[in-house]
Amino acid sequence: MSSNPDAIKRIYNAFEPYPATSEVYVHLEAVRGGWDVKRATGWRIERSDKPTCQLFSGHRGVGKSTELQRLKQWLEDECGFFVVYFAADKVDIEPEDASYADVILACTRNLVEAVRLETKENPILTWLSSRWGEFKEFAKSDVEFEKLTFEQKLLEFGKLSANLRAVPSVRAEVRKEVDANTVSLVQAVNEFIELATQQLQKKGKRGIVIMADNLDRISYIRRADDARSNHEQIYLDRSEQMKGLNCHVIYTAPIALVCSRGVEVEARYGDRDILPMVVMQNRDGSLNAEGMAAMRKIIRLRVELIEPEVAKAIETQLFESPELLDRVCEMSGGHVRVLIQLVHKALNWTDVLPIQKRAVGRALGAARQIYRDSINYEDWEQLARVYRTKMLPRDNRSQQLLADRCVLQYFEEDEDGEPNEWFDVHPLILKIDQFQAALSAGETE
Amino acid sequence: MTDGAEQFDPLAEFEDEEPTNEETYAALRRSIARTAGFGLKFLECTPAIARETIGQLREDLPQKKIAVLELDEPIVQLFERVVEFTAEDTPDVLFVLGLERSLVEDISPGGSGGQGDYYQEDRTPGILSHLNQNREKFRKTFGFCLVLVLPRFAKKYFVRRAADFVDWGSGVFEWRLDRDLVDWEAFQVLQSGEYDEYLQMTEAEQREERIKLQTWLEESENKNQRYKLLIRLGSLFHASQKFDLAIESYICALEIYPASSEAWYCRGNALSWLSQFDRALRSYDRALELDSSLGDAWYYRGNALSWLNQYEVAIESYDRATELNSNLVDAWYARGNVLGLLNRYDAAVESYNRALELEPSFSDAWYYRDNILARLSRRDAEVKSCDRTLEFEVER
Repeated sequence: MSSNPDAIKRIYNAFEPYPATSEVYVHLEAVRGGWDVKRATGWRIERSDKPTCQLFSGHRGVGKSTELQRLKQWLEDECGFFVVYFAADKVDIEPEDASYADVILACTRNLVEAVRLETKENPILTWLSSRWGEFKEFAKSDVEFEKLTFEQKLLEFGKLSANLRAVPSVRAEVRKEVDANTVSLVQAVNEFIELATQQLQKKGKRGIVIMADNLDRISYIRRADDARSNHEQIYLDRSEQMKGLNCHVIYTAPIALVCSRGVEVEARYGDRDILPMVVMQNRDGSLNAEGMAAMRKIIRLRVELIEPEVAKAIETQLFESPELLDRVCEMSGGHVRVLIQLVHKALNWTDVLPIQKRAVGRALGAARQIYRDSINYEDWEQLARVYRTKMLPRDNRSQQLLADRCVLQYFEEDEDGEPNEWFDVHPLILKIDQFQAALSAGETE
Repeated sequence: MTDGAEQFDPLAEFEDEEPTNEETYAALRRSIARTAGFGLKFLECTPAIARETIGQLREDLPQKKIAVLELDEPIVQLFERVVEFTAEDTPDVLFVLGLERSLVEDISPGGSGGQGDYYQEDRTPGILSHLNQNREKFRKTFGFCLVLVLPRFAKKYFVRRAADFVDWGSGVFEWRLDRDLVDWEAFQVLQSGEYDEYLQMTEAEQREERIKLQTWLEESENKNQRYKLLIRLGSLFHASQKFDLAIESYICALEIYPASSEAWYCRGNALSWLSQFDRALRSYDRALELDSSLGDAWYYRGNALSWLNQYEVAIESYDRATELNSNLVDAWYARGNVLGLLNRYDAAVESYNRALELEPSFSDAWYYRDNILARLSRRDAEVKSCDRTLEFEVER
C-alpha cells in the first residue's frame, strides 16, 4: 500500500497549502490556550445593548477567516443576529492603496446589498442621489439617477465602490468626495441601519453585525520616516469614523498594528482580539500534549480523505516513526499552514512512503532558510531577548517580527481560567547560527 | 494539560545539513512529477543553471510538457503575460525567467549582507503587489505548475516583500553555487565596466549590469571581491545619477574595509553631487587621512571647500593636488577661479596658464583668464590715472 507511487502523489497534492475544506477542519479552540472566538469576540456582541466595534487579528494562515465564519454561524444560529460578512479584498478594497473611506464605503455597499429595505426611502440611495452630480463620473455612468429603478440604483452604488478599487486614477477623486461627505454618509448609513434593524427585528432578529474580513491584507505603507503609516491612519487616526456605524462591527486588522499600538488600539476599540497559535509547548518549555494531538489530527484528516489505510497509522505509514511525526508537529510552532507545508516539503525528499528522518531534516532546512533570508541583521539580538523573556516589546520593529511570524503569540490559561498572552521565537529559527550567536552573546552580557 | 515529563528540544540532534544540488534536483523533479493541476514553486538559481535544469527535466519527465517564458524587460503584470503565452498551447509546467528585471530597481545595495533596510517602505514594486493580489486568480485560472526562477538576491527580496505569496506557494528549491564558479563569475563582472563605460550605457544596459553585480555580490563570500563589487555598484549608481544608492553602496563597502580611502573618496564625490558639501568634506578628510597621496581627492576636497566659501583652505587643497600631480588641469583651473574670487589676479592668471599649457583648448579657462586680465588692465589703468593725479597734485 504505502509503496504505491500514486498514493504518494495523491497525498502530496492533499498537502498543497490551500485552505482546508470543512471535512478536514479541526476544532482548535481548546488548544489555543483557552482562546475561543465566541468568548473573545462573540460574547461582547451578545452581551452588549449598544453597538460594538472590535478589531480582530491574527497571523496569516492561522485561521482567521475560518474562525470568523464560525462566529458568524454562532451569532446567527444561537444569538439571532443578522450577519453581513464580506471579504474586503474580493470586490471593494485595493490592498495596495486603501483609506478609511474605502472601508466605510465597502461596509456600506455590502450592507445595502444584504438588507433590502421594505420602506420606500433608502437613506443611502438618497445620500447618493443628492450627490450624484459629483459621483456619476466616478461610477463611470451618465445615467439620470432619479429615473433608475431601485435595483439599478443599488447597482450604481456598487459600481462606485468597485471603481474605487479598480481604477487608481479615479480612486483619489472618489476618496476626496467621500472624505468631504463622510459625516453625511455615516449619518445616512446609520439611518439605513436603523430602518434595517427595525425591519429585521420584526422578523425576530436582534440586530446587525458587519464582519469585514481580509482588511489585514492592506499593505503596510509608510511614506516618510516621521509620517504615520497607512495602518495607523486608517485604524487610529480615523477610529471615530470607523466606529461611527450604529451596529456591531468587526474589522480584521493587521497583527503588527494591533500589537505595536496595543495601548492605543485598546483605548479606541476596547480589548483587542488576536487569534493565537496552537500551543505546542508550554511557557516552561514542556510539550503540550493536547496541542500535539490536535496537530496530528490535522495531518490525519487530510490523509484520511484520500488514503484511509495510511491514515489509520500516520505515525508509521506516513512517517517512519512517531517521534518523526511529533518532530514535524513541534517545529510548526502551532501554525497550521506551516505544518501542512512541512509535510508537503518532506514529501519532496521522499520516493517511497513512509517519510524518513532525512526527508524531514531537508524540509526543516528549507523552511529554516526562508527565515534566515528574511530576518534582518539587527533583529537577531531582539529575537534572542524574546526567547529568554517570552515577552515582546511594543516598538514597531519588534512588532514587525510578530507580523513576519518570526515571533509567535500564544495564550495559556492561568489558575483563574483567564488566558494570558506570551510570546516565543518560531521554533524553526532556534537552530539558525545567527540566532544561536545572538543568544550566547546575550547570556555573557 | 501539561505533559511535564517531556521537554521540547528544538536543537535535538537532527540531520539537516545542506542538500547537494543533485538532491535538490531530485526533489524538484519529484515535486513537478507529482503536482496535479496548479502549483507554485520557486527555483533559486542563475538563469544559466535554470536552463540546464529545464533541459534535464525534459529528459527525465518526457510525459510533462515544459514551457519557458523569458522576460527580458521589467513587467508589472505576470498574470496577463502567462495567459497570453499559454493561450495556444497549455503546458504542464511553465518556467518563468527574468523576473529579477522587474525587481532590481527596488533593491538597495546593502541587501546582501543583511545590514540596513533591504527595501523602501514607501512602496511595493508593481510586480509584487500584482502577484500578491492575484494569487487566487493564478490558482483558479491555471491548471499547470508555475515555477518562478530567481537569482538569490531577487529571491531574498521576494521572501521579504511578498511573504504571503511565497508562503502560499509550495516550495522553494535552492541551488548552491560552487565557490570557484562564483569567484570566476564575479571576476568576470569586475573585468567589464568602469565608470566611463557605465556613462555610455542605456538604461536597460545599466539594469543588466546592476543585476550582474547584485547577483554575484549576493553569492560571493570573498570579502575582497564583495568589496570590489560594491565599489563597482556605487560607481554604476553614480553614473546613472542615483547618488543616494551610490552612497549606500560605498557605506556597505566601508563596512567591509573601514580604512578604504577609495570608498571614502567615492562617497565624498557622491555627496558632492547631492550638494552635501559638509559631509563630502568629512569624507574627503577621512580618505586623505588614510592616504594623503590621492591627488584627485585633494582636488575635489578643494571644490567642496570653495562651495563652503572656505577659499583659503580650498587653495591649499588645490596646491596639494597639483603638487601630487601637476597634470591636473581641473585643479589648476579651479585654483585659478578661487584666486580670482580673492582678487589675487596675478596668481589666478598664472594658475589658468598652467591649465592652458596642459589643455590649450580649455575654453572656460581662456574665458576666465581673459576676464581676470581685463580686470588687471583696468586696475593698472586706474593705478596709472591715480598716479598721474598724484603727480599733478604734487606739481601744483
